[in-house]
Amino acid sequence: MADDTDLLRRFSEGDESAFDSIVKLYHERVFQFVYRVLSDFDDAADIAQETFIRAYDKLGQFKGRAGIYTWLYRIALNLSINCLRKRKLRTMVGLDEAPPAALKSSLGGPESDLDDSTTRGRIERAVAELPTRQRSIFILRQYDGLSHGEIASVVGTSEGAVRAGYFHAIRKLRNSLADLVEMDNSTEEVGFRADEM
Amino acid sequence: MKCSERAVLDFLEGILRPEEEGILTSHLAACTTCSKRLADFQKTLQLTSKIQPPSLTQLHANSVVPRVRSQLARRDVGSGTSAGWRRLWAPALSGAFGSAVVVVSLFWVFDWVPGESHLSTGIAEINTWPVGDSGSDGPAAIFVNQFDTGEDDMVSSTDLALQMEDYLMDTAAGSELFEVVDTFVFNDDDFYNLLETY
Repeated sequence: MADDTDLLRRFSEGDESAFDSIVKLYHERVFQFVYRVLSDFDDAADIAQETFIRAYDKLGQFKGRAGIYTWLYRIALNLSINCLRKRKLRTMVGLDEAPPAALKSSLGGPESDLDDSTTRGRIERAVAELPTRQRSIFILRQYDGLSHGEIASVVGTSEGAVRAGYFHAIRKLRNSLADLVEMDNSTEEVGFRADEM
Repeated sequence: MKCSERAVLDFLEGILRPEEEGILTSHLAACTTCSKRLADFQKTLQLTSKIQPPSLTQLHANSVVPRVRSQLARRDVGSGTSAGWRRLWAPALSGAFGSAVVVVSLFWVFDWVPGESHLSTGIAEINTWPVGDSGSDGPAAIFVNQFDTGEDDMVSSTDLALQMEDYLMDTAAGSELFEVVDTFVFNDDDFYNLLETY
């Protein structure tokens, strides 16, 4: 499989298929990251696609000092933040009546009772309720395994701020999930996908 | 050593220096509070690690490249350019466009900003600008109005400035860039960064 440097070189030389390879290589990863940030399948699919369209024009200028995926994550995160902002605005002015399914539990109502009855619902809700920056940092560290330095590049902050954000995120999650954390055998009860409703 | 939740998490993350790690290991052996914290953090991470996002279907995954290509082509038809043309000329055009925007904006800024101090401040000094005061229409207030998501981690002026920079660096198309520059006031450093970027 071609590495990032090779793909960038080929693209800068006019080989359009190198861009297609980058899309194939990183699309799923970008989609999963955006899904975890937004908790909405359709928005995540749209933004993952838009990320590569935005990346296309500037890929030739990308120096390759960091991995392509960190740069793609950065674009995806900015698009996700814009999406959250628009979503919040639409909710405020009453244009959006139904919030994304995974977030329903945080807003009350019958669905939340259903979601709250499952461990998965509780955990998803706890992560979704983290402030955006903390959630992004937590996701990039916990699920994508990025280093503190890489996360700092994606989020646009210092490594110290990343470590602090991660610490606060974990502490909030521990408090939100205190009863599950206390259960000795809790880790045996989870292990499911978000689409297994 | 004194009990520290942060040190316990840093230990779990493996980012303590060897001597700090040794001290904390001894502390954990003697302190039930901190050993409980360590166990709790580990369980929290175990719990959250099991949640998987939904998978894209194979059909969806296979159609990603054609859909991205199709959208690029639609965009190019709309603008009367080809993808290759855009890629080759976009850097030059964006440079010219950015320079024009900076020049226009400099005039606009000098005309608009009350007093010279705002023009020579560093980004950190955005913190000293009036934010959210009644009747305030200073740059920081505009930043907050446009970028404040209402979440506590997003509202510091420095963060807002970083978001602003991110926006310009990564997601701004030409028209959006003009809108942004037209709406916000930048200090000298930001103008030079903008100039370098475009």
